[in-house]
Amino acid sequence: MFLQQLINGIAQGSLFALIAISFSLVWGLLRMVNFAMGELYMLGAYAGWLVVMHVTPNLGVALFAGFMVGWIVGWLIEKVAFKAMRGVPHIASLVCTIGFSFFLKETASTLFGAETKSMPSYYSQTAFTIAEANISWLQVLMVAVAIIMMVLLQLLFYRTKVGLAVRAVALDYRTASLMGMKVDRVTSLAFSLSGALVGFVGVLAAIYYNAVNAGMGFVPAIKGFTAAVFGGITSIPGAILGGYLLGAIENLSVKFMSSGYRDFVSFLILIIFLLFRPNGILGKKTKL
Amino acid sequence: MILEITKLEKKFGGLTAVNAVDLSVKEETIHAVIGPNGAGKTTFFNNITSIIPADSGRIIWKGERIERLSPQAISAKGIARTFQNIRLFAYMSVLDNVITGTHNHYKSFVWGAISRNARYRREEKESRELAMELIEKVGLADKRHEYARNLPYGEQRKLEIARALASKPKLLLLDEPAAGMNNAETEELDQFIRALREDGLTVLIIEHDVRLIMSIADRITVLDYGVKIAEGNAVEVQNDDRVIEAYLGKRRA
Amino acid sequence: MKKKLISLISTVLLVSSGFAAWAAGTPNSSIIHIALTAPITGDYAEYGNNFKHSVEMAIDEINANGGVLNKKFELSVGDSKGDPKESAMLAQKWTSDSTIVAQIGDFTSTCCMAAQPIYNRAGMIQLSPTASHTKFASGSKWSFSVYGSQYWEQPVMAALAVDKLKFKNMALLYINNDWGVDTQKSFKENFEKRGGKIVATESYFQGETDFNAVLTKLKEFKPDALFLATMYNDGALISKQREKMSWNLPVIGASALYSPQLIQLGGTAVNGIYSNVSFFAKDPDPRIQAYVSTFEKKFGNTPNFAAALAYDCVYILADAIKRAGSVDRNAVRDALASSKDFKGLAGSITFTAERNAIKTYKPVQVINGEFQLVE
Ligand SMILES: Nc1ncnc2c1ncn2[C@@H]1O[C@H](COP(=O)(O)OP(=O)(O)OP(=O)(O)O)[C@@H](O)[C@H]1O
Ligand SMILES: [Mg+2]
Repeated sequence: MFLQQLINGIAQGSLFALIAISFSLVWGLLRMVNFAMGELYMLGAYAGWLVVMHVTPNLGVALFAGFMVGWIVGWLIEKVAFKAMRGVPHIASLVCTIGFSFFLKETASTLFGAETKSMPSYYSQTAFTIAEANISWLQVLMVAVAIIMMVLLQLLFYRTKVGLAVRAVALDYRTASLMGMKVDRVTSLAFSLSGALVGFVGVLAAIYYNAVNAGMGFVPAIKGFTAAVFGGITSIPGAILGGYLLGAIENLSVKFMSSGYRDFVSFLILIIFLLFRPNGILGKKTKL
Repeated sequence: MILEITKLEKKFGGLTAVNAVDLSVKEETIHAVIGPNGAGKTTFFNNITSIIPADSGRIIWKGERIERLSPQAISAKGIARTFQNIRLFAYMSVLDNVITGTHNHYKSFVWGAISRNARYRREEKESRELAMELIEKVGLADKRHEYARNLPYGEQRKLEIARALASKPKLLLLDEPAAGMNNAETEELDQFIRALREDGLTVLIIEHDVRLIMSIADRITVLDYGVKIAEGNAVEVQNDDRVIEAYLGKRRA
Repeated sequence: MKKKLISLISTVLLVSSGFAAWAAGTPNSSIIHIALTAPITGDYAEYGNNFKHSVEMAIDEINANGGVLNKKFELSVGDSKGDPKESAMLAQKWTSDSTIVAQIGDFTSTCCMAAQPIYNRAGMIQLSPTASHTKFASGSKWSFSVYGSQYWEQPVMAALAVDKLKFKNMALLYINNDWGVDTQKSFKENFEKRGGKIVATESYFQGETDFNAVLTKLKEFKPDALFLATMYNDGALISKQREKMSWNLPVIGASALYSPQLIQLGGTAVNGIYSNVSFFAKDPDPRIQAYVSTFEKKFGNTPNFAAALAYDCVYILADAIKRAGSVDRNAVRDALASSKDFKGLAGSITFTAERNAIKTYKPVQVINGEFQLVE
């Protein structure tokens, strides 16, 4: 069953890793945490759910809808909580994202009702079985999609001018602006992208767990943030590593102790780890 | 005159860092600005590039007033600079650092990256080629994939110059480019700056290395306590009493 | 300021209406006046209306059959809107009316507890159909709840597991909060008392969505069946993930699983799950069928458990009045407290010393996407 837990951990880790990337992006650009990340995830999930229930059962369209909703709401949050608050102490922006978190959650539960919505299953058949461990097609798909997303991001950041601008702004926005880069535009773009990414993950999660509700983003957002810190929040490869490690540790720890303690265990490991490596696994070695 | 500055002034609280300075730079010359520590040289550069705008005075670039423009706009006008305290993107490769310098020349951005249309591909290729060319010129071709922060100090200075040149400027401002370089590197720099002038660039340089300045400067302006105290060619400046006093007098005594 | 003014005016109105009622006369000997407090409007309106309809129906029936002690019931209804302040205001109103014998309501525990001190001071029965907070009824000798507690559910479920389904080794999965811990403990005690063995126990915290790890672990212990001390939404999620793991085993759980939502969310994955209920609308019991069909005819919807509990409240109160032989508040209270094995629609009712109902529960099972009574 060790193998099965590892597989579960990798599947879950894919979700954590993508959320962690979003936190890293925002942190890199603004040295800030977006507390509404979980709600972007939730809105993405609702978007995917609406598509699947009312438009088309096509999973690709659902994922795209989650991506777009995350993008748009992310863009809005950046405009209100960060752009409009420039020059105001940082804490105001943080509080503003907390406000968004509540607002979006309340809006969703008013709009869609407080009950959990059921999401149809996709690809839930077993793909293959290794030593009693079952791997479903959905798990394969999730990991594949997550990896494709990460590769695309890597290409975006390292092979395009936009990506170069994002990295430059993240490293030193003053110098970047001297190079003629429009810091505001780049920041807004990357922030929207981070929202889109979690919106996309929300749809994946909705399918994986077959459920959508207004409160669904809270725990994953905390886990994603933890993964980012664990891996080294200034680095995207770190965020990815952190996500998969956290997924694996959480699921494997269940094997050795009561599952009620699994969050506790992963946070304990994190805290101990950070005492010795305050900058995370990859830490300052790599940036975005 | 490609650049004409009149009565430029910048105060920091009670301290006048740049005090009514006039300066004219002739096209395709190397013009040095020297002076003791704290004379206001860097502040003067910051005023020109609008990083710290001047309080008053006029800056005319090719007949156009530019003292109220933003740093980006000034960079777009063809004025590039390096920094006394190096400001490279530390965790970015040598090549990418130089490519950031080309940013202003290219129009396509988000849409281009998504559609990968012809213009976008051409621009990406051009900027990459220009960057490679400049990296070769400053002798960093072998290190193009290294993080900027892993280069020795002297090479970081070269890289900053390459990045500044990537924006294809008409005027290049160099703030102490030889600091941290050994003799051989300084000699190379000497040749390099001369070559830039041959290529049609105008160079405004701050430098403490007297030998380098005396060797390459067509004209020298001396600042002390924010005030221009002398101007002329190397021989004239070297023999100016006020300059000698400023350098050897009260502070160095 | 405005608020103060409003509350002043309403107090004045209340007091004067109280006087009016008092002036209107001492108890009319031919009626039994009772009050109902329910959230007729607001978030819980659905439950409030179920209350109202059921109580009216029960009173009409009793009156049609000649009433109690030759007196007819008369009802006053107050809308608490689910707001504790409103509930307390209504308590003021009812207690200042000397003709009122007892009060039925309110819906939420919070509302009941806000009004409790007022009924306690005035000495008026406060009989709640649905207050589930265990500290409610024990808070005053005038407060009663017929809701019951999960504590009485588990003997039924343990009996089902051992005697009927022949489970020997079971695994437990519970939500880590007060309710989950108690429910799980209660099942474990009862199951072990009957000779069963709990081979594995796991828990999770509110908000968890990924149960793969826990289920994988429980599966290792190869239990005969799984007990869920979870709400219906988590229950559905757990079942879906279990189905995906192709882990097929019988599942039984707390009454909190009993909800149409369980089936809506869980689909085929929840087929075969056992739960339990105190009131089941499709119960073939003729009394229940008569109630359900009359209710449906009159009000156009199927009565829910809250409706049945409110209906039981009227009848258990009528029973107490009959046994007390008078409408004296003290006599009725004592008679009510000594109710024993009262046969309600939602299970039989016996009050504990703290005036919480000990109830009987019936096992149900999801069969072909519908709950059905287990024979
Ligand atoms: N941002 C600032 N705020 C306040 N004072 C400043 C600022 N920048 C420079 N100064 C002061 O202005 C004066 C001129 O500084 P500046 O850096 O221009 O001198 P410099 O000639 O470049 O000296 P060095 O040769 O040491 O580089 C100094 O006294 C310095 O302390
Ligand atoms: Mg300086």
